[in-house]
Amino acid sequence: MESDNKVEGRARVVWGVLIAVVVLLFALAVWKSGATAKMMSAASSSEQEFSRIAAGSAAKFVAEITEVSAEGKITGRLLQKKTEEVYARTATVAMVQPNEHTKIVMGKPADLRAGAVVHITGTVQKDRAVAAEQIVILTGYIKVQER
Amino acid sequence: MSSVFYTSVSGWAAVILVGVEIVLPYLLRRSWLSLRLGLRMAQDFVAPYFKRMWVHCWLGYLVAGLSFLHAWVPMQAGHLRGVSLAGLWLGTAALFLLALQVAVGLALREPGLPERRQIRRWHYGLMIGVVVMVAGHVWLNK
Repeated sequence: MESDNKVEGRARVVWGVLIAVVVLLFALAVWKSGATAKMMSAASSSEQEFSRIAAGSAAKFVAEITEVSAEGKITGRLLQKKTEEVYARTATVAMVQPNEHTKIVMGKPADLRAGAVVHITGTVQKDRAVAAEQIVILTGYIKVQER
Repeated sequence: MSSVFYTSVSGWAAVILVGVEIVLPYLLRRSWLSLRLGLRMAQDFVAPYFKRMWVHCWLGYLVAGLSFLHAWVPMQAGHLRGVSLAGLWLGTAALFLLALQVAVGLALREPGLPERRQIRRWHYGLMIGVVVMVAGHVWLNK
């Protein structure tokens, strides 16, 4: 027969492990939520900055999709950040070329359609189209206004 | 994007706490789980079952509160466009079931409840309903 102290000690260890697991899960939830929120407020280029990006350089911008071709090429209008959640339409047209390695975050490829708002990270090509490395779907999270 | 953070963190916290809520009653009374973990004998020396269940009760209220916050924040911020409507309905149903679960749980706190067995069955059934609805909501809206 186990002594009372031994039993209580074992119970304490079990409860300690269970509480530690729950705390760890909470920490993971906070970290994941923070990463998602950070991703959605990522830096974006202004109209002037976007037009000055040289071929071969990295580009980060927010755009409203106006057309998606049958080949998957995206045409959109660059959006200018006003606040964290409000962006204004600009006259600058952005061409985006996703490929099989492009990471789609916060949505699925079917979400890439006219009217969708996306944050693009990629590399500017010689033809000024952006080879997308990551597309974050921001539709519904960002309000788009006329300038 | 703080509203995105609060929506996400309150949702995941509620999911974790639902799991804790389900496991707790099995740890706090004589069950195969508490026996396997060696908790039963230690429990025999502490407060009676009803008193030990206070954590389960208060975490239940916390789950309901967090779930309400999880629904309220994105509705206030207008972040619901572009997300699965079916998923949102499942989330709404889960919130409704959680409110019902709190009411049933409150009834079960009464030691002299005559229909205890029947109401406990309701409590268990509602728990399954909440798990199914929450799983669907997470799957469709993650």
